[in-house]
Amino acid sequence: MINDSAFYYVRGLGGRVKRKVVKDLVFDQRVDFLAIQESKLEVVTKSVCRGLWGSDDCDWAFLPTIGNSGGIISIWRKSVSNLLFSFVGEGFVGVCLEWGRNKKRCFVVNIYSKCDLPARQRLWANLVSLRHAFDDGVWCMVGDFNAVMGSTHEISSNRSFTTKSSYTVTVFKYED
Amino acid sequence: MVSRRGCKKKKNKKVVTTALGKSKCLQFVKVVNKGKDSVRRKGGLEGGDTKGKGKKRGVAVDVLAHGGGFLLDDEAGGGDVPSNNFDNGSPRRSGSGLHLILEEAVSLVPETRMANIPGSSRKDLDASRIFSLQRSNGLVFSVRDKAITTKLVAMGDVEVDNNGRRVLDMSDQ
Repeated sequence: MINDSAFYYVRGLGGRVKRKVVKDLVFDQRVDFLAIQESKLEVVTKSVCRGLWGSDDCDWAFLPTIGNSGGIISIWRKSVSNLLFSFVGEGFVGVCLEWGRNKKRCFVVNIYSKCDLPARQRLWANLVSLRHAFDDGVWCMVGDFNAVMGSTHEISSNRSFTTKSSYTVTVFKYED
Repeated sequence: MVSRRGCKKKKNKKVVTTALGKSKCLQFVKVVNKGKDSVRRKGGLEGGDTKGKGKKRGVAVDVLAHGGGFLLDDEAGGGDVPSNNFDNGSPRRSGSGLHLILEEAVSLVPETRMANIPGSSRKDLDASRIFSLQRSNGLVFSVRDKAITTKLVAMGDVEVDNNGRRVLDMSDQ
């Protein structure tokens, strides 16, 4: 299975410093899968991914930014995985991978949800339909959902409403 | 030499215990006992009156009174109940679309397990699933596996991009 994964709400990847922070994160934590939201990049090239990952041992899928915001990038370790297909929709990028020696089938969806309710409903309708169409594998949905999970999350969100933390992590994991 | 004695700034903070519990941030709140359990906000606010700076203060106190939470856009007008959708492990109200959709999907669509399907059959199945999902809103599939793309070519639903990858654009269907 994917041992370590990192999810980063970066608010733009244009600067060298921020790219170096991501690169150090990947190296220090030995990350296998990196999910980035709010990249603000229209095109993600091999050199960009290599700079973020720190080596050539990576493959990627991305959703380009629309206007001045958005942008999702998923980068994963190429040597231990085999990409079957990827899918892109409004607010998410998903990949279907055969991972590890056992070629365990994994679906990893990198989500950056919009704030308005109709867009969120469309997003989840698409994800649910995909989840039930491809239900023979491990599903992992990561990213920024722009949703409140419960009372604890709600209180903490209220306190940090003006000083939002540098990255937001929310994980839903479906396992067999 | 000027003596600073007696010039110490008076603290405006007071701890107030109301029927809703002990408030944490009462810097802007002043209490005047004007009868039993009456609370008066500093700045001329009284009984829901909102003027100038007092408006924000009044809102802040009201938020605290509702349990310290803020309401989302889709939860506005939901009353005094905090949006605790996962209370006791079950969704209590459909505050956001997420819980509503998941609730319906879990309750209506049974879970099926197809882990024992051999590789080639599984990929044929993948191709048919991708083909069947082509009507979905704005979904774009990029297929790299050769077995799946061969099957999709046979289905006549595949485009090839500049890199030789076979791309299925569902939005164009």
